[in-house]
Amino acid sequence: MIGIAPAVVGFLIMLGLMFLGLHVATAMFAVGLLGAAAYLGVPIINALGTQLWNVTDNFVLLAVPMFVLLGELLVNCGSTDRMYRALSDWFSPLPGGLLHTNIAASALFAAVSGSSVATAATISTVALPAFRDRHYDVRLVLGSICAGATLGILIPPSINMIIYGAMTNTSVGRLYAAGVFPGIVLTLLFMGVVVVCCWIRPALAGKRAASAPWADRLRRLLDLLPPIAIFVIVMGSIYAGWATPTESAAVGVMMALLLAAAYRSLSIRMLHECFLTTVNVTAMIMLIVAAAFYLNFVIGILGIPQALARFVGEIGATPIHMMWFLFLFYLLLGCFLETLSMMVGTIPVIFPLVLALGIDPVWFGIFLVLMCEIALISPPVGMNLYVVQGIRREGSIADVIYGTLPFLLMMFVLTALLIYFPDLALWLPRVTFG
Amino acid sequence: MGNNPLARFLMPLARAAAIFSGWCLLVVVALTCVEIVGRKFFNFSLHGVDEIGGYALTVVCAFGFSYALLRGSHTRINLVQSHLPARVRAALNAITMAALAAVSLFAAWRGFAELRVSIELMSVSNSPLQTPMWLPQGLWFAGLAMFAIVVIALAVHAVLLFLTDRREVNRFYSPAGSADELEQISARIRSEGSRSAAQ
Repeated sequence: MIGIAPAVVGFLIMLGLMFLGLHVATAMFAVGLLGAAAYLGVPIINALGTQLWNVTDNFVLLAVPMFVLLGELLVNCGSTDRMYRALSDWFSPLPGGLLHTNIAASALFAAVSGSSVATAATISTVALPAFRDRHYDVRLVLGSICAGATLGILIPPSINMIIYGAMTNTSVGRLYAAGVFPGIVLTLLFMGVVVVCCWIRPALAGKRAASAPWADRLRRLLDLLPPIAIFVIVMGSIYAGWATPTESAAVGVMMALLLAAAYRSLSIRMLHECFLTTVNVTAMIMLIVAAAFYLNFVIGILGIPQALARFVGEIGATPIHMMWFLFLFYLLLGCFLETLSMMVGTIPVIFPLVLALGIDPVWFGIFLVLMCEIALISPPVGMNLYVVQGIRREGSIADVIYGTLPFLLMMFVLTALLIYFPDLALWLPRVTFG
Repeated sequence: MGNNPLARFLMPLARAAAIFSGWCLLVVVALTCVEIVGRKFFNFSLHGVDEIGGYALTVVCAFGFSYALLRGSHTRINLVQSHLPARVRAALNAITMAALAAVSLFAAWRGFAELRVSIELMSVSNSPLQTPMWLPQGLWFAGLAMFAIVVIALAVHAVLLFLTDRREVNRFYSPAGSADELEQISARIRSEGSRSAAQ
């Protein structure tokens, strides 16, 4: 058992190593090993092998590569391009026109993909050409893509929720159910802020394009069916109790394969491209997750969670105070840390603390994912900002950052809603799982 | 790591390993679908699909680590580094690779210890499948060993470059998204653009 001071020192060493530019996983392993060497001795150091095996021999986490593969297959078979076109037919008449398409397409893609970065890359690749010569305000266009894409990890399936579930022994199915309403509310908030902006300054929305003929619009609606069907079956089988999240992910992959075959884009070469991206993303995620699991293991043996819980008990913080404090903490941390590293690097100390205050672990999972979404678009290191700027390849990243501000504000609104009306997240898991 | 000659040399192996693990994943996808349909509609079960799935993830990870490294995907925070002088950056980049080499070597060593225990005790999994554990753990260790070899090779390269030509360290071993890397990408786009203009 060690006190809080060494734990804080350890956390600062970890941050320091990360900021020096060492691999995030190296920083976490190093601090875990340092803690084990300083206080626990050889058996705990040597347990790294067993820990490493146990993290990856894990059926829950197998959902990570499966959902990545599912998203890759849909992108590579052209389903997302079709989806964007179909949605743009129907959202263009709203004030703000195509901007709503960015958000709606992000939300729909988020419903089949578990990653916000993948959503950002996908939507900006199909959306940016659609805005050429349409005279929309470029900042708002970029902002709507960046912010819309963050929905990828809030609307199920979500990779962050799988990892949170695996690290904290929280049901991934419940987390998915809890993400649905906050996801819908955030989508509506994003669309609302576009309407308000374009209503105040109509110049922000560009020239209205002539609507496509009704026959085309109706025919293209068919393109929305596959992603919706995949979402309904993947999520439905979890909620009906037919399949675990990992099993339902496998069903989703199978459906995406059939869809790719139907679109005549399935080939060995295309499959290999999808495999390479999937393995790349999975390995990148899992190296950090493995390091975080080992760190978590060491921190647990050191009794830091209990020490922290006692400390919070002594200062007598209420859950509401604590959540606002954590909001500021993650807001600050999110400016400097990559999202996943921030999440898995803080769970070992923050989660026991939250539990000690009697906060629902499912609710906290949603809160944490929302904090990750904010981090994805907070400068200077918000990942989505760079993905969108990287695909745009012109102008300055400052345009992207300005454009996300109204949407960032809406995320703060959702944070407040979530803190004061926890049932926004908790109602659905309660009625579906009891 | 785009034009790093050593990374280019190691890439085919890592790529093949990544594609192999992709196929493993797809096999598990197919088995899982059979399992669900069987369980739901025909009252039959393959038994142990979840166990095989777990092994598949160990393979995807262990074999994928090298591939992700060669693509420069393993996460690094680039915020402070970008404000440091080139000489300091070169030192940090070399240290980063050496540190990762130490971690990967340690992980491979401890992985081998796991495997050795499984072989000595002839352990089988505690499940209906009774998988001999050396089988999945052997594959897993092969992946970890490959990762250690790849990282050590790159670390030696980075440290040697640091001793001989520091600029080259930053060219090959800077974090993704850093100014060094962005400069290379834009240079490549420019040269590709001028080539296509010439054609």
